[in-house]
This record gives sequence, structure tokens and C-alpha cells, in this order.
Amino acid sequence: MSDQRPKKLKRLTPKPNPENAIRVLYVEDSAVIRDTIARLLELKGYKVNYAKNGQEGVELALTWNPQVILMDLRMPVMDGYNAINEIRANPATRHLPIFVISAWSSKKERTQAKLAGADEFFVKPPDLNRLIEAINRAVK
Amino acid sequence: MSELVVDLFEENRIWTLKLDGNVDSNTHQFMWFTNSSASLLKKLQEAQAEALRIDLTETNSFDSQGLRLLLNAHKEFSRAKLPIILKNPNVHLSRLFKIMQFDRIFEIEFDP
Repeated sequence: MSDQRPKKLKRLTPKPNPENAIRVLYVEDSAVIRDTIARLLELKGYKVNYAKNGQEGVELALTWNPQVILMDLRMPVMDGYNAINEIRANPATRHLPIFVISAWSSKKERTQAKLAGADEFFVKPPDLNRLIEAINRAVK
Repeated sequence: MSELVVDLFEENRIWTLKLDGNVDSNTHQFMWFTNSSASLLKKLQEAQAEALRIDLTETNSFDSQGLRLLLNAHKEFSRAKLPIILKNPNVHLSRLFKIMQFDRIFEIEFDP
């Protein structure tokens, strides 16, 4: 009988997620994209919460106390541009780093996101290493 | 109408869930052999399993619901320290897993 045991087993559990883990709010309407990015970040030790549209994102930015916000642009109820505007307009949340993660990456989208107040722009699906570097840099 | 045939068997404490067909909105409720990943996890814990290998050799496609089932299972199984291994995804699935960065979440293995 051949040995069917896996050669090695990695990523068994996420890194410990202590109380001082960096809190990342991900605003994204696509459940599978949201779940995937959230899981990747959780495995790196981040604490992740999510909102399904811009309106929920604005509310959680106030109530959940995130340290970084990841924001999709095209979403129902309230899009990412308006959500960024509202977060920037509120003194309680205006300081928060906001990274846009969008499949729409033309110059127009990038410029509009920047004008709305986004700090960085990532094309979906984002490179995890680059995203993590940006998150860590932003909360230093 | 897509179909999904599921088989579950054990060898040396490594349990294999073999999926034959497509995992999509019509079939995803059949994916776990039991009625949910949580009940499959319970079964494997009782059997003192060391890992769950999901054999995708005969699986053609996963839709977004199927992918979310995998992610949720990874979360549940990780808490129980039971790894999930994805075996032999076809070219299409391999590409999908790469794009979705599932290779950073799951073990993915291929027959030599």
C-alpha cells in the first residue's frame, strides 16, 4: 500500500489573535472575495471585521474602532467613494488609513479614489504581501 | 443539471473526501458527506483523524458558494487543529485557487 500521508502540514492554525492584533475593517459586497481576504489576513494574525456595503462600513468605522479600512468601490446601498467621503468628513474617523481594493483599476478610478481620500489603491485580488506591508506601515 | 457524488473513507488516520462532479448552487449542500462541515469535523474528531484530504481529481468546477464552503471549513477545522488538504485540482481549479490565493490558505497536493 502506498503511503498516502501528506508530506507536510502547514498553516494548521492562524497566528495567535491577541487583543492587541491590528484591527482591519474590510468593506466588500462580494462574499467570496471578502471571506478569502479576511481568512488570509486572519492567518497572519490580524483581527478582521467586515461590512457588506459602504453604509455599513461607515457605521463600523465609528463603532468597531478599526485601525485600517479596506474598501471596495462598487457596492450597493453606498459605494466606496461616498463611504470614504463620509469617513473623511467625520472627525472621529478621518485619520483612519483607507486602502481601496477594486477590480476597476483605470486611471479614472484611481484618481477618483484618491480625490475621495483613499491612501492606497490595490487591484483585486490584492497581492497579500504588499497589502500586509501597507497595513503594517499605516499603523506604525 | 449538475451532479455531485461524494465519498468518504479513511486510511492511516487521513480521511479522504472524494468529490465527483461540480460544486455549485445546485450541489454544494451535498459537499460534506454529512449535513455540514461541522458535523463532518465532529465525526473526524471522534475518529482521531489527523487531516482531511479533499480529493478533487474528478471535480470540474467550484462556484463562489463552493469556495466559501471551503473557507468556512478551513476556519472550523483550524480551530480543531485539523488541516484540510486539497488534492489534484484540475488546471481550471488550480488557476482559480492561485488567483484566489487559496494556495496560501490550504495545502494543495498533486499525485506524482
